[in-house]
Amino acid sequence: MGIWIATVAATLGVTGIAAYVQFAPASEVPKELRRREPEDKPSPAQPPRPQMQSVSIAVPRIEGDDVVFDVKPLQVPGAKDPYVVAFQSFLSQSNIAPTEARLLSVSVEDGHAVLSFNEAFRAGYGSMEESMLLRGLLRTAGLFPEVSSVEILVDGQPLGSLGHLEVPARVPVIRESEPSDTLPIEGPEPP
Amino acid sequence: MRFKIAFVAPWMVAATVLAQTNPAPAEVVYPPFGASKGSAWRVGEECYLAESVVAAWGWKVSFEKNEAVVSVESHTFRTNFKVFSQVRSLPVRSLVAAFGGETAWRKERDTLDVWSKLKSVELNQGHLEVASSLPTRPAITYNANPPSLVVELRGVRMDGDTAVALPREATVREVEAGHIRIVVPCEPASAMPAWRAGLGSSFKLDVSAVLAKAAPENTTPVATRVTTVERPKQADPPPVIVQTPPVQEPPVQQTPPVQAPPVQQTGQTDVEKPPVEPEEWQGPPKPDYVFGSWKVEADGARETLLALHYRGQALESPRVHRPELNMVVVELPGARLDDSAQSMAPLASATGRAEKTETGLRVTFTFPRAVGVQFHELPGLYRIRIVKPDIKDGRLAGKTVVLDPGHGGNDPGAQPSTKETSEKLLTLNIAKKTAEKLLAAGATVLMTRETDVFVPLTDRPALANRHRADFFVSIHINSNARPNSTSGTITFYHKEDPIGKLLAECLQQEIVRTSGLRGIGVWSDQRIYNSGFAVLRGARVPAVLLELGFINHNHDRKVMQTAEFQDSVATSIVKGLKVYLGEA
Repeated sequence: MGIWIATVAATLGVTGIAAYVQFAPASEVPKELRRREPEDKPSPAQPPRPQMQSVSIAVPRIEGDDVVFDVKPLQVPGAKDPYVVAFQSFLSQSNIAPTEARLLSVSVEDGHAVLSFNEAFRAGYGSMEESMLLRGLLRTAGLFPEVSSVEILVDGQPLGSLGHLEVPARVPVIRESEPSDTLPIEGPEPP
Repeated sequence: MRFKIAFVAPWMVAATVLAQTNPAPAEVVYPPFGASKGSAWRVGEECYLAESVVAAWGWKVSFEKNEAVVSVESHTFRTNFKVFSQVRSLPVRSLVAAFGGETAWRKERDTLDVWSKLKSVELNQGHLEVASSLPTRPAITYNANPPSLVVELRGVRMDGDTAVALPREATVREVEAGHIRIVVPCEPASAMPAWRAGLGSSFKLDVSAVLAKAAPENTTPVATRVTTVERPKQADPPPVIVQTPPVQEPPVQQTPPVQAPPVQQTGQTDVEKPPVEPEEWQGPPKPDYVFGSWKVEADGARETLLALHYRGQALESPRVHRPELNMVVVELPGARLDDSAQSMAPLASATGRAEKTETGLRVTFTFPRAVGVQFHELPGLYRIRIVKPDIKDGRLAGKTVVLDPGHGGNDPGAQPSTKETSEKLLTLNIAKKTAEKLLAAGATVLMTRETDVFVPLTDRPALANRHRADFFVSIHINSNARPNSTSGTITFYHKEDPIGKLLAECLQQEIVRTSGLRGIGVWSDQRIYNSGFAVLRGARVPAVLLELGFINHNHDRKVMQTAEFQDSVATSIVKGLKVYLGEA
């Protein structure tokens, strides 16, 4: 008998709470306790992607003992993002990073491009490979006039180093016209 | 509510006070010198910067009791200082303001931007004169199309107080925040004039020989005009800088037969000159290019400065080469020895010699041991800086050598597609063999790793710095992602460090002699990265990075895996260090 009374009481209690939640005016629920509806979420400002039918990439080539870069134009298919097309093409055509390396995303805001790669990008490189890879990315970025600096993330974390140099968070791009073909990374000279 | 205020307010006050008094790690960015990470601390709105960083900016710092005395050229200020992590640090915001520069904290981070201020730009009687409030490093280039002198000043701002006295054709603009560009139109030149300006608050360039003749203001001073500059948000596209145009062929010269013996100069002040040969010049007037004498500007234990004076105009740049590491040979094509040259100053520990060649003149200096060399072209003279490393007793025995096998642990370094070996394994093998030979030679050896473990880049040179080692040798294997395209050995030194370059030359010479691999050369690490390799940048002792061969080249990879190669490299490193020390 006691069990039955307890069961009925519990059922009524749960039903009552359910009814209150369903029918009580939202204004009476403290704001911080209200469920966040999707429309409440701040939508990150998405800068408009440039409409481009073609882009260019800087592909490294060995000339003598040095590395030179050839600018190669590419068509941007349909609705593809031109930045993604450019950097993904650089990755595949430069043949430096392992085939498992993937470009996950590119965001460009206020002239700053953030390139995000998967963990496979952080492979073992020789110093000349590391230089070719980074210079190629910076030269490819430099072929977009609106991009002035680049940040490289691997698995969501700043790249830091690929084994030979420290890559700062924000690296200026290398423009095609720049005479110096070395990385414009000016790190601190330790005291 | 009262309770809340009573509870919260003391904490806010305490937090504010703590923020004002507790130092937080900060970063100071002064573009000519990069960012000073790890050497700055923020205390409230002030930023304290390590004295070594300030000194690297060209500031002179001394300490008197509880005060720091800081001088920038002719200006001196006294200020307080604080000690953080046992490092004396100076209030950089106050000092920059006192010297006439600007600073600002970035909004979101504890990063302080520092700018010098452009005080004046003048073109006066064929000389471009530029002055700024803080020392900076101008980058001077010759733009061939259109012909112009381009001076870039980074970390410098201009405003309405900047005095500008330039002809209309010349421009000075802040093309982006903290980046000044000065462009002076020139006449086309066959070669870039020898414009140089080092670290300093002011410099003066003689542009009289190349100033565009169309500009009547060029030859007379122009009235000072003060410009107000809007700071643009976006950078202008940089000017197209092209390589120096090819040098015009000098007129064909009928070289008289070389009969005179070379002039030998070994400490005597008088120079025996060769008899003057009659010249049978039939063509157009030949430009006169006369080598007069050399002068010893300084001759100390660590450094010798030699000035080679000439008059006239060189059609070709001099060529400097070193048949041996204790020799410096300067070829002066088209030059002749001055008939009236009476003396050449003696050198304390070297011999000097001037001799005629088929194409001109050759000046040779020979030193008792390997020396570092820097060569500068200046108007009317070539300056040779001879750097003599501190070799202490000149013996490898007793010296401390830090060996740094590259990569390790989860960083395999370069790998061939066959995966038969990896850079981290080869470097460790070679380092261990080198350590054995160094120990046998009586040296003390420290290794950054002795097993297959990952060691952060900054920890590697720190080991050498901490133990005040005599040498830091980082061992690597190269790869360039294009199989079998490049083969050979490169030895790197940091930026323009003459001591590192000399050490690199000593090791590279021996490695190429014994390893059987092709020698590509001795390279500045700026050829790969502007900031250089992290391990060389961090080293405060003579340091080199060896790239012994290409792992993606079949021949190199096969050779590098042999015990003979690894032994020969180890032997070469020991021998190279002895050459550097003058012991071999």
